Amino acid sequence: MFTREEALAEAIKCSGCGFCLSVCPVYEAVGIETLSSRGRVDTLRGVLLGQLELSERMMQILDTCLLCRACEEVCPPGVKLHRVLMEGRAKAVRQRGLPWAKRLAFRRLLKDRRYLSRALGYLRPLLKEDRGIPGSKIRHLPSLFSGLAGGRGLPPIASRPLRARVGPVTAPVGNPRGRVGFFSGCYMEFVETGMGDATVGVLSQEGFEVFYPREQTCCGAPALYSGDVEDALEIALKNARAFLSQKLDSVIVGCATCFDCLKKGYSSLSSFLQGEEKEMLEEFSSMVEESSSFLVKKGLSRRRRLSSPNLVTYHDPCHLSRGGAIAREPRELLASIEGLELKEMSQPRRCCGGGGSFGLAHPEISIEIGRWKVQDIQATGAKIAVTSCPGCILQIQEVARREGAEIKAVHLMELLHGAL
Amino acid sequence: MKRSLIKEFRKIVGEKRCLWTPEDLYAYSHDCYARGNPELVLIVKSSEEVSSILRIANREGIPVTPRGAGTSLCGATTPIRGGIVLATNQMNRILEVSHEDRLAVVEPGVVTLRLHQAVESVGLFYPPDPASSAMSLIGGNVATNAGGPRCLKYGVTRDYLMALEVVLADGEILRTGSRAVKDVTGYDLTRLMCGSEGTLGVITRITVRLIPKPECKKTILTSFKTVEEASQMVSMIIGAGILPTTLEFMDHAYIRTVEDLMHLGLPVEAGAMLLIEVDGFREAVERQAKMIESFCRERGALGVQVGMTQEESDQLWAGRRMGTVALMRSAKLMISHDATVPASKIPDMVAHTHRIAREADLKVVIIGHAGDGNMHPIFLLDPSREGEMDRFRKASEELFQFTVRCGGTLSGEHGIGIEKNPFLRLQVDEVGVRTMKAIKAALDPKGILNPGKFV
Repeated sequence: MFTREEALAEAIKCSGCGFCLSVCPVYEAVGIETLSSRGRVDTLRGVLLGQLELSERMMQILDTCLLCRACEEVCPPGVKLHRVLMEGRAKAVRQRGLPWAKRLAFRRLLKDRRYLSRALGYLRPLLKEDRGIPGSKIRHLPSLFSGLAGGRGLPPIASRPLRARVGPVTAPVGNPRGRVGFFSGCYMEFVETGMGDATVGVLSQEGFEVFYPREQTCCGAPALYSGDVEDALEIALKNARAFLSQKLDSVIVGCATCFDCLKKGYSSLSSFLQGEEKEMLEEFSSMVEESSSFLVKKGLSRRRRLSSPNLVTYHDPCHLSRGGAIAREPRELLASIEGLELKEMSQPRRCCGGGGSFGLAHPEISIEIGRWKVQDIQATGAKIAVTSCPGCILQIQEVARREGAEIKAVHLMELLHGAL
Repeated sequence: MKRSLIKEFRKIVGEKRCLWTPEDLYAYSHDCYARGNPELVLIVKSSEEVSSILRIANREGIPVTPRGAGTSLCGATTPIRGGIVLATNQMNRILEVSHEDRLAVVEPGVVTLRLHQAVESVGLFYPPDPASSAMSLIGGNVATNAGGPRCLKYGVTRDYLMALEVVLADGEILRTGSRAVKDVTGYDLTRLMCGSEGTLGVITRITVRLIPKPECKKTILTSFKTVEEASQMVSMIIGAGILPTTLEFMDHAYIRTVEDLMHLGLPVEAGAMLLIEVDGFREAVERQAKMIESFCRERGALGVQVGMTQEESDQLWAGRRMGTVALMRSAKLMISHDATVPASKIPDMVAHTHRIAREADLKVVIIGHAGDGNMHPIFLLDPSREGEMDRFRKASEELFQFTVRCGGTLSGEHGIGIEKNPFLRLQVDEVGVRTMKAIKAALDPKGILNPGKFV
């Protein structure tokens, strides 16, 4: 999180040149400058300087940013929009409080897997795929309870959560190379548990003992990105404790958003803490590694090949390529698979429009942005889009279905796991 | 503005494209130079909507400031008298690209880069390439007669216009020009509208001329001990019958400052650097590049590098492209002028600019499009220093006086807007001002279009 001074220091850097307008996906979808990267920095600067208020319109401005950070990459003076925006959202929570539904979700469900698991258990029979818009699902499960599902259907909940399928410790195959923790994230935990199986599986195939602590909970991104610092802090500390009780080399994450939250989010949250708690959060955050980047650093010990040759394309999740500067590593892993050909799309780094609960709150904008991504994937001729974020996978699958495009989105770890 | 009027406007464009919350007005109040106080933002989708809006605005005497992407560097699109901001970005269709007639018909809200891509994909070429082409709109390019690095060989936006559709202040729709390359029928209203910065009408449709896309290009980066030597090099190249696409100039102060910031390995001992690009058929490009290379060596250039591939060429451009970004990040405030002089006066202009800056205690570095004399003295300012902005204004005036004295102009490509309006009369005399006023009065008698700009 960022202080008012840090946010203002960013905002006043903006010269108004408009270079960011060339890459802001929301601006391209809506064609209104107020809801563009430049418009956001500008109006938020107005709020920070006391020239504008936190009005309803301002809440829309805060709410309609995907936080994809594409603008930051092309900004000549180097404005970090996410800093300004996060302070804006935090200020809104301080002044206006959280909506009741978000409050319920963040205060109870995010903090304890048992509550969330039980609540999902009750809901499961109701969450058939044909509810709402056919074939559409939502991301960020806790948002399910925050009344945000507007227009989009809800995801089918796995009959058994990941923890019922993967034990607290998974032994390495072959020569042991180290001991790592596995952070599952809500989506791998409760919905697409296969991605969780695959991530743990690949780590084990590669000789790592995988420790999967049951006390971990949601990464806290929904609270953090909504500006709810208080709840995000509590969640962060809970996760840090869950992993630091063991001796581990690293903590591996397979979800780009969870990774961004644990790595960047927690380290900025630690500035709100002192003493032991601050040290603990910083230590935990420094141990966090994204799955593909971790594997490239360690080097793959086993050869992998596809049973039949296949053409794939790779989509860069914003939270990896811009948040964590991880773009080369997934491609290296793909290149190491025999029989696989990677064909790049024209703009692999362009946001898919998923953006966490953005897809729920603004389905029209989200789907419009998703359409460009699906068309870009189609133009490569590949039928498989590989990526490293369950949120992007969900979005690409859903938009592809709506568009009638024969595209499957898969997690990189699933591909690696299946190719041995 | 009266609520009943807002209602009337809202009926034309619908609720979603009629904005008046304080936040929307704030976001549309400025360009890259200054901030105004609009009362209403209308996002238009057709000439008919523009016409209906202007009819009411003219009846009521409400100021209307047309807006493209809002990237003006001189306040050309700042709504300084309030009223309506008329945003054209959603009129963004490419209506036709004709290979046979070598032209494209577009709406004003098409991003210039999109036009480049669309015509290049069928082997055609639209040369004007302002630095803002990734986000600026073709309508804004026409309204400001935008230039860019490729202008030396290919000319500016004005040189590619064939026909326009323009909504006049009273709402009447004017159609100028034709689809014919040669056209001498009547006054050239197309070129009158081009560069008028939205003071004479709202451009709603544009027909541009296209040329065949050059087969290839080559980039050469070279440096010299002095500005004079670099300048002689420019004359020598053109004297030998070579017309480069691009001839970018960077002075000693620029090279030093950028090298200090970025450590790119630029020749810090050089008085000037030249970035030269030639394009055309492969054989011709190779021959021209060889000639330029040997001229440089003959003339004792400090170094010559030739970029054969796109990648190598991008590397050679790094000092120029990333350099300005680095400057922007290092300075509290960066203002780039675009005073333009005849090519022979470039050494004088560089020396004089540095003298003015030194006397005014200001930091300046100079880049420019050397072939066409379009120089960009970039002032790196710190508004918190006492009197800095006053000294900057005074220095600017002296600089403008100098450029006009040597037969040049206040602005080569950025425009006049509000930034250079106070200096207009340095270059335009009484007769000129009277003529401009007569044109304005004939087309916009109530003065509702982008008021406060030009005359």
